[in-house]
Amino acid sequence: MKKIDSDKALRLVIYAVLTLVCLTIIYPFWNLIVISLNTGTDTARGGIMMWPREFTWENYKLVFKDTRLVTAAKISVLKTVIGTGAQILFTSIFAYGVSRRELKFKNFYMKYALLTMYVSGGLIPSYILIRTLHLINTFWVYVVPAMFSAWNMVIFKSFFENLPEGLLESAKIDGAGEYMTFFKIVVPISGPVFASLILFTAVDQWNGWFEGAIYITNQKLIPLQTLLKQIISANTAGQLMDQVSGTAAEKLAEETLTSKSLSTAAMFVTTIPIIMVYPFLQKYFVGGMMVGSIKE
Amino acid sequence: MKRSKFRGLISTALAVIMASVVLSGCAGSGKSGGGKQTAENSNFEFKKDHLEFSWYSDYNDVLANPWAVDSPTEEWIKENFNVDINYIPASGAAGQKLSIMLASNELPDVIQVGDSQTIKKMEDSKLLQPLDDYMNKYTNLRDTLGESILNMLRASDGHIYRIPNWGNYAGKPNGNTCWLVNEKVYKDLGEPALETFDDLYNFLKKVKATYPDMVPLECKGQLEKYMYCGFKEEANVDDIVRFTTRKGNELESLFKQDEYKKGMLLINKFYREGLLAKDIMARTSDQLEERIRAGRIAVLAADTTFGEKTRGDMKKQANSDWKVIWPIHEKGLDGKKIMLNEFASLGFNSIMITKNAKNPEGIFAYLDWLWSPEGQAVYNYGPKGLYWDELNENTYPVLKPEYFEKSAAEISKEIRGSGSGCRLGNTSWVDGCAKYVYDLTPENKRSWTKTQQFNIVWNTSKKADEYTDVIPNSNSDEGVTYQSIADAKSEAVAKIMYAESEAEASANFDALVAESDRLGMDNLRKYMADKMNENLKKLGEK
Repeated sequence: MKKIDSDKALRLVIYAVLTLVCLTIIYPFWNLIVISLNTGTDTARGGIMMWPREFTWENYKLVFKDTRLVTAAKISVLKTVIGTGAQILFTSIFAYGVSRRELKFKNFYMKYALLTMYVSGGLIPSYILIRTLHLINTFWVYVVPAMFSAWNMVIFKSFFENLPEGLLESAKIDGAGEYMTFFKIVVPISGPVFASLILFTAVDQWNGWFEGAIYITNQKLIPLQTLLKQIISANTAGQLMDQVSGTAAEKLAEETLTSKSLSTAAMFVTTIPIIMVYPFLQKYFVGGMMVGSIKE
Repeated sequence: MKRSKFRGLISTALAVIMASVVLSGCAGSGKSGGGKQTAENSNFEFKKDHLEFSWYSDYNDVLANPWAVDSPTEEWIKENFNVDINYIPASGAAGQKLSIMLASNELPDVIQVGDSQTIKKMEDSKLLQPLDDYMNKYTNLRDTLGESILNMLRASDGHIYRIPNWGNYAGKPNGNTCWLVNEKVYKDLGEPALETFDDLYNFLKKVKATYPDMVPLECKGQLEKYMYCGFKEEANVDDIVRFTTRKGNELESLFKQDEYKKGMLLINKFYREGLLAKDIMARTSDQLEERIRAGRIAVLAADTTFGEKTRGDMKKQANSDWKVIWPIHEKGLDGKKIMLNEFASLGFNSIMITKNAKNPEGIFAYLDWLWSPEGQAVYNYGPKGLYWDELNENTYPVLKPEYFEKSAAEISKEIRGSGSGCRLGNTSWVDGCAKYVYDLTPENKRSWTKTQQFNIVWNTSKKADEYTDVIPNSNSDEGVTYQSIADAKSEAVAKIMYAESEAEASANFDALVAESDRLGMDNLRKYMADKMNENLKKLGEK
């Protein structure tokens, strides 16, 4: 009896601690949602904790009011899907190649690839390169420069090197070539690494705003994050302009939107899609697909 | 068969992709570096012929919305003047975007920049269109700025390349910086005299004794500015930023001035006695705003903008308001000669037409019109025909009665709509017109900000044209000295404030003086004095 009671007690303590830790992690995010649903000027008074004090949709209304939002969202989705797909495809193929012992000059390829991780020409040479490749003001500026990631390549390579050699040999014995081996054998059993890197790359692509700010002037090609940056800056600018023009200083007193409230609404609008995608990828992190594939 | 087909497909696809990437890199050499050469288009008729150009302003917080979309002002300009402007947004990458434009010579038609060193580089690199000839044809700018300011604008080759934005050329003072007092607290404590630092000290002591939860004194920005100016009549507030003060044609170290030392020691005294917010150095501006909106600050050294922004909450939360007072000063000084603001004829930044512009004359004609009373009236009071039809003998719009029925906030939203606002401000006209409109406005509808500015704040502002561009560029030797002294000063200001006795504060101050001398203050002030004297020469002053 004593043993069962102490088990229960221990379990309760563990659950309580874990719940507390989860709440500590979730609370800041929850607080930002609450701020995004609260009037900006009321938020500035402080004390917003669990629930909005002055509930409003105005922060989201301003974000969604911009007619460029739908186009920007489309661009973001396309660049995330195509950009992620292209990067994962080319990076994984490269990593598979350099993971094979029999590849000639593989050290050279590795060093050449790793160099790009440590050394960069800087902003202006990058711009000149992009311009020379005729990618300025085109959708492909989001895809082509990001088609290879040295960091992801290293992760893929480490994973592929640990795959049982016997599995790949058996494929060769059955007559599979390199491509067949890669796409039909290696990729299916590398679920965890592909899922992880697809998620990280997708989040990177989704959050990217810099390319849209630097390489794109056509407003129909800017992604969501760049547009949201403009919306937030515009609200600040609107307030600053009234101050400087001096003809509508009272507007500041009547204004309820603040840069902070707008930023939180913008943050939430861009985070939701990623949160929705994550559960579909989660199952690939868990378990392995290799169980039962080889009898040692 | 299947296996080789699959392999072949993949190989072909990869080969095609790689080839297209390689070929796109080989095709052509891209845009040539020199940009388009522009010929003066003397057949261009402004307001009739179509004018289209791009405009980039190197600030993240400048509106760059699509032109003439849901904006009465911009739609009126487009319809009546046949003008289309493509505002290029900085999208959070201002500075970097400008560097790229300069390096790749892909400049917009109009560029707006604040940093004088960058402007000078652009002038010297011949990236800009000289405006002299256009100024003689379209004369609003030339006639209002006057010879001395035009001289200040001239580049080293004698040409004028830039138009000052928000320049206060008429020499009428303006600004926002002021002392604000919590009206309810002030009344409850018997409305004592609040003119000298002694008055302030006594008032703050009373506040501390009577309201334990209230912060007696807070500051938005640098408190040392308010203190330094209070110890010296006709001070230039930005001596604090320049680390020097003018004596004739020389610049002396600010740190060796009694007024500055007295100001710093007073800050230390206030801090030691708990009259300043304890976390004044560490708290964020959000926390300051929270305190203000909750009505928990008795005296605030800030500006009318902040006051206007927070008055609503002061009323709601604390049944109070802000009261602007004349600058607090040392006993014996004339309170009406204490200056908390500076203003300059060359304004905040400059607008330039680049060599890439296809129609520089057309663009200048538009900018010259924008600077004119009509242009400023359209942007500030709405398109012609809405709230005004004509300008009076003073060039101000004759406003219809409907204008005074709405609040300024409503009018502003209505006339600007989703537009990007006016990027070229004629401050002297705007301020003059604001006074004219203020006098016409019924008393109960008058702007609080304008009331404070006309009654007090604009009387506490000093001209500072001689100091234009004196601070050295960060890449130069003097710039490095300037930054080192700035770093030493930041540290010293904190040490002086936190000192536990006046003797310790004084010792920390003396250490700052010695350190600034060691870091090269003499060279710095000589460099800045040379620049100041160059400006004086251009202005025709001594």
